[in-house]
Amino acid sequence: MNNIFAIATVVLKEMYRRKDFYVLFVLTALITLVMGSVNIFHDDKIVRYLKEVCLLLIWISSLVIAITTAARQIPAERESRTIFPLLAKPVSRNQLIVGKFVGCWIACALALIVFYAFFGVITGAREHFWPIATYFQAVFFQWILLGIVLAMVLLGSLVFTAVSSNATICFIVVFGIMLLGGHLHKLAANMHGVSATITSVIYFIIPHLEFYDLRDWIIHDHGLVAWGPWGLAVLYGLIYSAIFLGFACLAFRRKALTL
Amino acid sequence: MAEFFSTPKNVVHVGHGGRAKSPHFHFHFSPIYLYSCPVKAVVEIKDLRVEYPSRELGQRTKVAVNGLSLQVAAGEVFGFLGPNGAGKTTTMNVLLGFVNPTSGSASIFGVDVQQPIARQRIGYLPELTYYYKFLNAEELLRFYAKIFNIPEREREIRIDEVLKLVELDHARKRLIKTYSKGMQQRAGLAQALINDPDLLILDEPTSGLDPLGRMKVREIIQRLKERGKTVFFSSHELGEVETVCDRVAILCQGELKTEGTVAEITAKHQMNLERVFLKIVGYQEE
Amino acid sequence: MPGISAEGTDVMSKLILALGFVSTFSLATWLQPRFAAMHGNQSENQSALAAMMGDSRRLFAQQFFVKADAYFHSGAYPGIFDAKSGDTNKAPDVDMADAAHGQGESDAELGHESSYLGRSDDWIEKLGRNFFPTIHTHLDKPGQAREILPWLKLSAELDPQKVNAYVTASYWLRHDPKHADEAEPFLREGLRANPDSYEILLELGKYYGENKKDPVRARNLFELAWAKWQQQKAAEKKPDELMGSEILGELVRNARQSGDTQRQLHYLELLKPLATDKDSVQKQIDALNAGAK
Repeated sequence: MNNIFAIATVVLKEMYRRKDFYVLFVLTALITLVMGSVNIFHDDKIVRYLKEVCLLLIWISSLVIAITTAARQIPAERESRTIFPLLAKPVSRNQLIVGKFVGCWIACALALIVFYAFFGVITGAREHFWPIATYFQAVFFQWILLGIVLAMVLLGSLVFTAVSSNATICFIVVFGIMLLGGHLHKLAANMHGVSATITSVIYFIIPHLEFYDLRDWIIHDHGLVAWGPWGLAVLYGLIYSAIFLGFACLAFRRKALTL
Repeated sequence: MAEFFSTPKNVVHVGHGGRAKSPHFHFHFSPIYLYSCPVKAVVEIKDLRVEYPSRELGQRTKVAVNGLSLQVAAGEVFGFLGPNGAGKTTTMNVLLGFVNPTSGSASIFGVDVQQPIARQRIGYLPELTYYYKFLNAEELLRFYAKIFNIPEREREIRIDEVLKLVELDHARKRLIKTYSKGMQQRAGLAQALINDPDLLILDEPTSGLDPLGRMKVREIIQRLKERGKTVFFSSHELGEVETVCDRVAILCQGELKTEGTVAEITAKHQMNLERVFLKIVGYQEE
Repeated sequence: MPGISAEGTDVMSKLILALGFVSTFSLATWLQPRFAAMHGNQSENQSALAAMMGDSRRLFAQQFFVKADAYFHSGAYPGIFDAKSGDTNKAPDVDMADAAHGQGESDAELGHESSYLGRSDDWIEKLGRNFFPTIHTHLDKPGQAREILPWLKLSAELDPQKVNAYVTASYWLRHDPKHADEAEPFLREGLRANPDSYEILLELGKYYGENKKDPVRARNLFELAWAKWQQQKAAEKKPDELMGSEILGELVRNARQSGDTQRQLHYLELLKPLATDKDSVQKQIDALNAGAK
């Protein structure tokens, strides 16, 4: 555990010292404020549209942070050869993978807290309403989603040689699942033969990332999500993260590292 | 300097962390238990063979190391010589667990090299040292000290000592990416020494350094030797090897060609070490 | 940066961050009045936006119009995969516009778990339904409908030929006492882009009739709307018959308010072939004729 947290701390330091997060946050804040200052029929109480814009930017930014941070972790260690002095110490490869994952996940949590604090201030200032519990559910859900994405990207970084190809593939997979993942069984119902079976299998094996998108829920003030299903979805996400991490550890275990 | 080397050399310990202080620890963790047994050969390689997938047409694999067997005893400074591509770095990669052997075995302190715990008492300096660009020397050492589970108070003392030893104390708060090559090499040496290792594996530690830098590294190796540490290092600098090594091995095309003390080798071949080396690698003088 | 310590770099990063924040807020403050000023200069703004997006703007305009409808239903909205076989012919943008024309769903249809989703086929779908809005409600409480306006405005800006966007937005604007006057400039902007639109003229007539209590101007606009409708009919452009009957209905009501029976009879006669309930129209004609005798 000590080694995992030591590695995670370095990941956090890296994120803190790189400028990516600040750029994305300033962009999100800037676009939201500009959109918020647009005059819509001289009505300054319109809030849902502002929520929509801000949440969309938060989702895009957090995915960019998660995917780009996780995708470069292992390749950067190998490219800059920092992995050699590190693995020459009593650190197992599994600890390295888990440490990187924990670091990225904590970094994402911090980023989400900052983003949602901004969101809360901006929307609360307009509607004078802070549904803290719902926001907590949304932030935690998004964090769980990012956990699955991070584990997936870390696995990808061991399979694909180039950081850019891994990041691109992961972006496509994540957006594909978000848009179509929940509808694959309906598509399968309209297909025949092998393609129907393959589509159904994909439907049941992919992580359903769309579960964790509570944007419409927040925008339209639907109150709290029932805690039971919420907890189940959290568990579901943790299981998928563990599965992807497990595969990443397996892929890394037998990989030869040459200077 | 004296403070840094003050750990009694014959005391068997596992790192410097709280774990080692636990009265139950030895009973729960068998590899550590092995450490408390007297081990004569610090490094033991038996019939090691390493093959890589070949990139050449018509050849499936390329043999990097073939049937290598050697032992390095405790307290020895062992020089590992050979031309480029001889298999020195591959052997070190096996010892550090970066590469799995195709056949044969390797152990450090009697523990299979694949076990992370085998690396608890070693320090490693790669040939080319690149460290996290966004960290300064102090943070880098703190990170590695945490990996060795060194308690916080001792950690800070050790960081101070190591930085003073490698003469980077003045630049401890500067980001490593701003260091010169020599400074980066010294930062590398500092990280290799942070756990006060019993075995140091140095891959061409003086490569790319100016004469002063080389002399400093040689001095450090000499001091480690005096403290009874085992040093396993590869080098192209034959003069350096003659000066500091107790024993040397010359590797060529993945095979061990000769092994022994410098005196034994020169006596056996009736020529100095440089000529022996050139003869082994097949260099013909005109 | 050679010569600068890590602490120095740290302080620099913090300063850059602080500078970023200050710039963000300053820029937002600076931009706000300019955006407000741009309101009066919207035609230029439109052309710039349109030029930038090319033909794709129509796709976005439709998407934003659908988004407004989704907002009207508080996010409980069927996607293309959710339409049940029997409902697939129903355009997604009907409800919000229907409500604008007083033809929305009955209260009995609201508040239930959306029937459009049908039964869940498996545990994944069942679990997933807990995380998106499925309760069918409308934004019809006072002031709530304002939330759909940004999307309608964006839709109209991206596709000025999207008449529905002007009409629907102005309907909701007219029904908000605080913003009723915003409807007129918006409709006029739509009329400039669509000079032959009887829908916009009808809505503009309603604005003058209902909000400004100016029946004369309203009548002129309804008559112009009817003339445009007829022009389209003559040109075989298949104008919306329901809309035609609505224009005539407004003209009948306007004539009734001004006590002009002849005009009432004239429009009722015109309305008869278009009306869905022809008997009712005939009864009105008979009653008026009987009254006149």
